[in-house]
Amino acid sequence: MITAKRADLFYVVPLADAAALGAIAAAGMLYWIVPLNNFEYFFDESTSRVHVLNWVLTVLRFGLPAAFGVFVLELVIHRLFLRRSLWVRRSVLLPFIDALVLGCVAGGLMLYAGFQHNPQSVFYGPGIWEVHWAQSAIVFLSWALPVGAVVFFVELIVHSAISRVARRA
Amino acid sequence: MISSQPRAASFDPAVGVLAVHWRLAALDFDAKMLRFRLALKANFDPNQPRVPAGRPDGGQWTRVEGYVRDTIVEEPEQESSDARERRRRMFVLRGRGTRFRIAPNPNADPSAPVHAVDAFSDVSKHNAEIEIVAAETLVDADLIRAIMYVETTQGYYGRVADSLRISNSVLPMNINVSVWGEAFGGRTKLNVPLNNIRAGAVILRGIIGNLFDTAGVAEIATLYNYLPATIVSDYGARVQAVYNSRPWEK
Repeated sequence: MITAKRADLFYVVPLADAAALGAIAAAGMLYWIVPLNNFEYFFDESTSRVHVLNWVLTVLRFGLPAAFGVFVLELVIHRLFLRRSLWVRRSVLLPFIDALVLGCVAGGLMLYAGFQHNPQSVFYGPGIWEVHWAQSAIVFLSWALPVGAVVFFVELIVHSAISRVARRA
Repeated sequence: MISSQPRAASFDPAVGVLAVHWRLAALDFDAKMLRFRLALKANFDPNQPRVPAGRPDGGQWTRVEGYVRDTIVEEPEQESSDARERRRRMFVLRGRGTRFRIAPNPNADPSAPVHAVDAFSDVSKHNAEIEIVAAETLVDADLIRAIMYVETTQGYYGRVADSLRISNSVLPMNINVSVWGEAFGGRTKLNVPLNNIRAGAVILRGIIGNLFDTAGVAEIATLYNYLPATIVSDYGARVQAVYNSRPWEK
């Protein structure tokens, strides 16, 4: 049973956030990937058969790592802030901090992918420290801002729901 | 609904006639392509002046004073990477005129990096456009597929910025507008997949035209990714591995 005790919230909140954000990540990936594969991987047009296993595998492949990453990161973040009693019911502070960290992680990972894929020319100039800051910022922010915004609004809803359930309990 | 009955085989004569017509047209196209390739191998120079139309010998190749046939310019021994990029870009757009020097690299890593996601491949989606462009440019369709496969499964970092029209590189061939400028019509034109793939194929053709005949996919792909490169990169080795394994068929 969910209670308002901090010890419970310490695990419940990251778990709920991870489940919600993992589901959204999986849904977003399906939205992206299904048309890319001309639907062949997911549907067999000749027999009108749906490849259920491929749907499940795709959801797990993208949903689980996202959920696990969110859970671990939030455990660390919440450990830092719950200890200082900053957990406030329906507060925007915790979703904001989570959104900031997760957005930066997403932007950082994509920037890393960009650096790996294009070691020269796109992100670096001819000089050793001549980084193309504008292009790097575009790649970083183009992922950090939408991911941060999704995390923030999803967590607002999830935390609000947890607060209500905890109050009733 | 799932059907367990196999479809009955039927023969439509109209479809059969169409199929024969299509096959004949394809054979005709193949023959023309073969003639064109032989002409290229025989040092055919499409820029050589011709006699103007209206004269008895109109359309024939002619010699004009001042016309100098393309000669092969050797690459300088010492050059900054910036200067090399500018010079090579010019030759890629020209299609020939020099021999890019790029050394093999036995240490280049052909394995997929951690961030590669096969499911992000755009190759199936753009298969029809690839076939059209390959026939137009005479670039190997599988080379275009291999480049597109690596660009979309590893170079997806720019997807969001791309959709907002603010990224430097435009997918699916990741054509860098800051490098190529308006050579292919700029970002607006490159956002159309057919134009984008055509631009990628023209770049590949320009690279191939300026490489030694012994150069392989790894050398071509390395230069596609980074024009001033002087040694085969991990990217080049990866494209070579993808070209050999053809993952888009799985």
